[in-house]
Amino acid sequence: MADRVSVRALKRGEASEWSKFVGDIGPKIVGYAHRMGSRDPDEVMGATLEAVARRIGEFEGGAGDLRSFVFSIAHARIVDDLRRNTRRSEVSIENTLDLLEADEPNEETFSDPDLLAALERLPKEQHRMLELRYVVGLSTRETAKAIGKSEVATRVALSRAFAKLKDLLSEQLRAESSEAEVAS
Amino acid sequence: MIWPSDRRLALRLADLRATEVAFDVDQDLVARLRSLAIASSADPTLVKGRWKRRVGAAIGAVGVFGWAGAAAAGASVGLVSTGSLPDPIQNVVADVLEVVNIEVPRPVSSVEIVPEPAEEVPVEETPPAEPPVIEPTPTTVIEPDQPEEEPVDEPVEEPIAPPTTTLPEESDEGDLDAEESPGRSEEAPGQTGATPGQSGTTPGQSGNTPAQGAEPPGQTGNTPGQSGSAPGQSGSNGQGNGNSDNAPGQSDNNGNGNSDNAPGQTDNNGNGNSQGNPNPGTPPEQSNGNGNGNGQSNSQSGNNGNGRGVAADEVDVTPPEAAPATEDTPASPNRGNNGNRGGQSGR
Repeated sequence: MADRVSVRALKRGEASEWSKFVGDIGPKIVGYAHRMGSRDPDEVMGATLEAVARRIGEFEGGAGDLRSFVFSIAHARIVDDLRRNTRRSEVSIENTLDLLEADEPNEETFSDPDLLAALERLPKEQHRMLELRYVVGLSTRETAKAIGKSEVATRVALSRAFAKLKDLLSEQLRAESSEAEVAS
Repeated sequence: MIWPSDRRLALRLADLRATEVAFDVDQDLVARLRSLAIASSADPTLVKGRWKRRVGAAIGAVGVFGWAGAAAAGASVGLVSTGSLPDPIQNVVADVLEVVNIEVPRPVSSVEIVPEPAEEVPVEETPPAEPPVIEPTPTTVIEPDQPEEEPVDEPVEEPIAPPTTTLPEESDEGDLDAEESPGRSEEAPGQTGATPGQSGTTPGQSGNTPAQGAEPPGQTGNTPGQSGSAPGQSGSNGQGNGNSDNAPGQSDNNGNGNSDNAPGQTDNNGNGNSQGNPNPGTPPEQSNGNGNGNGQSNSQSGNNGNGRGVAADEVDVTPPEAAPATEDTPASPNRGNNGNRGGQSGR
């Protein structure tokens, strides 16, 4: 995890620290970007790490702060990617095939389709907070820093998002049970 | 139906991490990130160097501006000290520098006139008077064609002897020692009358008009002691006394013009004496006349004007010092002396 990464070593540009940091945080960025709907998570991951490396000299804080910093940049890149994809009117065949393959459910990447479906139905802000807090594993304070809100507001928003996610999952279960009764 | 609890839901969310696919770290990506991190970390040193440069530039700017300000101040003080600036600026700068006890010349127009005590006019040393030639019983001969001024029969005003022209021992009446009081008209013809305002009781005293004395034939004391006041000076008080003992052929015209002006203003005193001594046996055309006019004026500038004029066709007795004044007063027949414009005040 990133807590074992020395920020000072990263600033000095030590290769081992950077290898460890990329190996640790890279998959998280890719998964986060994928769940947030990015069409090219690897590109988001590369752009995020590159931005972190450019601004590591200005960064002040510990490992937890570095994770918040990384995912705040990742979120900005995801938003940029989504906007770019919506503006893009023409795409190449290869990208289209990749996107079609990515949209298909995959056992490796989507182990809980009901939960993912419920997350997709949440507002973007609540989805993002739940991702950072429960999936990525940031603390409430780190989540608050990553989304640029106060810790109290983030805590309240997380509670509401969590309750809404439960409601969505309950509705989904209720619908499935009713369908099962009709089918039986 | 199993409703999702909070804990179970949190675990389900955490299980989504398993969907994250581990990937092999690309060393090219790591190398690029390292170089970017080194470059980024080098920026703070650049920032520090930038601050150093800024501080240096600020100090340099302060030095340049300080040098320019000091040069401007020096030039300004130099101009002020020489009074070369325009009057308003000079006045303002003088006021400012006066606070720090630096005196600089002020414009002339702003200099206040400080009253000074009247300076005593040094009494002119005259050579001992020669023995009087004039007969003690003067007679006045009036020419028929000359306009005669009727002697004013007025009470004689008390003479006000100007302290600047009168010696203490000369102020006594009747003390007509020629050696000690030069200018006694009766004893030293042509000398300046040193007793201004001595009035005889005989007609011919002129009161208000200084030195407008009676003009006996051959002698004229014309307006001695005219005080010319500088324009803008305070009004002058003129007192004129004319004495004329107009015995036939002799007239003493004493005119005093005293102007007591405002303190420190012009103090003009004019004395005019004219004497005419026609010999009793001499026809009026050959009358002898001496006329002196002294005018002393003390003004601020301390100029004293003395004028003496002697003009006579046939001068029997002429003081040595009276001769040069004849340039101003052209000789006129049958008239002795003209002491004109004695005491044009200096300005």
